[in-house]
Amino acid sequence: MKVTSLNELPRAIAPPTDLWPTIAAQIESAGRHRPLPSRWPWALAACVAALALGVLLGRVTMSVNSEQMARGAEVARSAFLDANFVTERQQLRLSATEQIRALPAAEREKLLQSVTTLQKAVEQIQSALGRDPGNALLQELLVNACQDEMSHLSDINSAVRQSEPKSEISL
Amino acid sequence: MAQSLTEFESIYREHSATVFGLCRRLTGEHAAAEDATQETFLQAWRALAKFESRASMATWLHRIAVNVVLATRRRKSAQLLSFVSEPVPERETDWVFETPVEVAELEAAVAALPEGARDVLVLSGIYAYSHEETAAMLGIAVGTCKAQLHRARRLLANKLSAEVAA
Repeated sequence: MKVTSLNELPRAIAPPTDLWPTIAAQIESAGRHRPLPSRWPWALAACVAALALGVLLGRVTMSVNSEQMARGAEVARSAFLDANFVTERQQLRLSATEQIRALPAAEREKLLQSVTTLQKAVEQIQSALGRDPGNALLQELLVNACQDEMSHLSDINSAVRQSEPKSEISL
Repeated sequence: MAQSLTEFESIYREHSATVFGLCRRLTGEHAAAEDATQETFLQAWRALAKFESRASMATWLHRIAVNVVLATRRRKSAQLLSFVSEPVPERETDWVFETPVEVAELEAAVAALPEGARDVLVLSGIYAYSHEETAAMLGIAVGTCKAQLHRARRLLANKLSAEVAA
């Protein structure tokens, strides 16, 4: 067969083998075993540990010297009074929530549940601190839990962005 | 998910040949084209919720395919695409060969072109994308796109005339 210009060439060339079974298998496999952001297991572990420690601290009297208490209080106060920290945390929360909303229902449900669990942990530690504001361990725990929450939200943002096929061009 | 997957299979059935054709011509290799086609549809599946129904599915898939091929190429070689600046004609459409050419011979000549020139020739010459669309897909300037097309056609004409003479 002869042609006289490039646009006479057929645009379609059938693949020699049917690629669909492989594609479908990968889609189904990814649906069942979609990898979570790499730091996610650590964030969950930190969350559980935070809750357990919070309960323990509520029941056991810890001997904390005044220097440790002052340092812990300073860290917690500076973290929560710092406007940049508060703004960044709020932006990350909003951004991650938007990203999660764009995901398929099953994944959205899982991630929303995870984020809610982390945020509840932060709230519970804050509540415990309300009852015992001078507790240096609780203060440090709160700062750590917030940092875990932020890095988890960052992981969600970057994981969702990486899964988009528009890194080269806008689609 | 099953229902969506069934619908997605019909999209695959409708578009896989043009996507594979594009990947085959951009990669110049059969196995690489198969891999790129699979990856294209996997990425399309993941981003399907973001596809706007008023856009062309074929164009959307072609864009993903071009991205996949370029990303794979970059991973294989960090070398920048060679590009020689040449005078750019204002208009180079409807390029017709003086004598008819065998399809296989033309495909081989296209496959033998340097990557940058081949990418532009395939997208604008065979798949009829405009300079602007081609440039956007490849992430290059429109001027570069025109110059690469001019270069591709010159190289292709030389190649074809040499084979005819032989």
